[in-house]
Amino acid sequence: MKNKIFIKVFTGIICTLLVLSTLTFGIVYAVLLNATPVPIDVETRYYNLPNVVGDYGIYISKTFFVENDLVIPQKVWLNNADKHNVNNYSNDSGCFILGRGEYLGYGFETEKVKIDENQSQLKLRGVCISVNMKSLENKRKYNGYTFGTTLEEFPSRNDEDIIETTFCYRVNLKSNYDTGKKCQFILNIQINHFKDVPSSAYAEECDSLFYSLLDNVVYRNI
Amino acid sequence: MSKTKRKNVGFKVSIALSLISLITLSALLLCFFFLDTSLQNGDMVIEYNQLQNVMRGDVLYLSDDFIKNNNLKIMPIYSEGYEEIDGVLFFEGEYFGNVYLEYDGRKVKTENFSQRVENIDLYRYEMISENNDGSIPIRVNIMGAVGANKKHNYDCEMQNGDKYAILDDGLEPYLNGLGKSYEVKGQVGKSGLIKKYSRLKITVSVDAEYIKIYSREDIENRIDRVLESSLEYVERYGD
Repeated sequence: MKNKIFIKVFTGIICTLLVLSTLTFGIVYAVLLNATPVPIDVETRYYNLPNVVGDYGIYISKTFFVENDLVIPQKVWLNNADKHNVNNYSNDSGCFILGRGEYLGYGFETEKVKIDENQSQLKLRGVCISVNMKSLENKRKYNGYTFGTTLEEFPSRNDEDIIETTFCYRVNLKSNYDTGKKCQFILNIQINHFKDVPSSAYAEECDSLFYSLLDNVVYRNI
Repeated sequence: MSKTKRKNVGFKVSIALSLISLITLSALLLCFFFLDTSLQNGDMVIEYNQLQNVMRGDVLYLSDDFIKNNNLKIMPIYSEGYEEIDGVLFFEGEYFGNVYLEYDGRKVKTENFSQRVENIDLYRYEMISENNDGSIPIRVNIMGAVGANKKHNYDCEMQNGDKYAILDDGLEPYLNGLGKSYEVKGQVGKSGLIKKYSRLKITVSVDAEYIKIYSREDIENRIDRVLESSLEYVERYGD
C-alpha cells in the first residue's frame, strides 16, 4: 500500500517537474531567444560578403561587373539581419565585419558605366536569399541552371512617353559545393525606354547579362 | 472485462502515453534550448604572428619567405573594411588583426588566442602585391584547414611526398577577379593508427579591374608562376 502511494507521489512530482520545466524552457526559448527579431540596418563592403553571409549565399565575381561595363558595388545591404543573428557590427556606421550570421541574405544595386548621355538607362538589382524563396515561373534553362523569368511594365511617373520595364530572373542554387544548403538569387534588370519600342527589344541584352552573371557565380573560398 | 475495468486500463494507457509524450517534448525542448544557445559561428581575427602558436601542428602553413619573395603584404582587417580609390586602399574603423579563424563555438576550449587552441575549423588570410614592380598585381588567399577534402583529387605529388590537387584547369572567376587554386594535402600527425591530414588551399587571382588592362594569357602565366612556386614554401609547425 505504502509503495503504491510512494509511486503515485513520485510520478506526480516527476510530472509536475516536467510540466514546469517544459513551460519554463518553452517560455525562455520562445520569448527570449526567438522573440520577434528587431531588424537592424546593416551593410558591409562587397569584398567582405562571404565573411558575413558564409554558406547561406552564393556570390557574384567582380569580373561580372567589369566584363559588362557595370559599376562595381561598394557596399551591400544585408537582409534578415537582426540583433539575434548579427552581433559584431559597428553601431556608428552600421558596417558589419566579424563573424557569419545565420540565414542572412544580401542585396546590391548597380548600373551601366555611363559612356554617353544618350545611352538607355539600365539598372540592376541583385538579391540573394536563403529563406522565403519563391517558386520559379516561366522556367528556362542555361548551362545546367534552371531559372524563372517574369516581366513587369509600368509607365514612368515622370514622363508618359517612357516605359519602365523590369526583367526579373530567379534561380535556385546550391550555396556550397559540399552541403545541401540552397539559396535563391534574384536579378532585376530595369530599363527605361520609349513606349514605341517594345520591351522584347531588350530581352536578348538582359538574357545575356543574366547568363554572364550565372557564369560568374562563386562560392565562399574554403 | 467489466466496463469499469476497461475504463481504468484506458485511463492508465492514456496517462502513460501522455507521460511519454511529455518526456519526449521536454527532452526535445531541452536539446533545442542548449543547441541554440551554444551554436555560434564565432569567427575571430588574430595577428598573423600568432597563427602558428594557435594552430601548432594541426595544419600546414606557407612560409614567410613566400610573402617576401613575391613582394606581398598581408591585408589588415578593420571593423569597417577598406575603400579603394584609384588603386589606393584606405582602411577605416578599428583594427582587429589579419587572420580569420573560423570555429564552432562549442568545440573551442579556450579563447586566449595567443596560446594553442584546439578544434579550430580553419584559418585564412589574404595578401596583395605590395607595390608596383612592373608585374601584374596579384591577390593571394591562403586557407589552412584540418582534414582533407574527399571531393578533391590529390593526384599530383610534391618533392617531399605531399600530394596536391589542381582545382582549376583554366582561369576561373573568384570573388575579386579571375584566378586559380591549388590544394595541398599533407600528413600532420598520427593518432594511433589513424593518420591526421591537413589541407592548404592557395588561391592566386588578379583583380577584375586589371582584366581589361592585361591579356588573359599574361594573367594566366603570372598566376601559374606564383602558384607553382608556392609549393616550395609549404611548411609544417616548427620547420
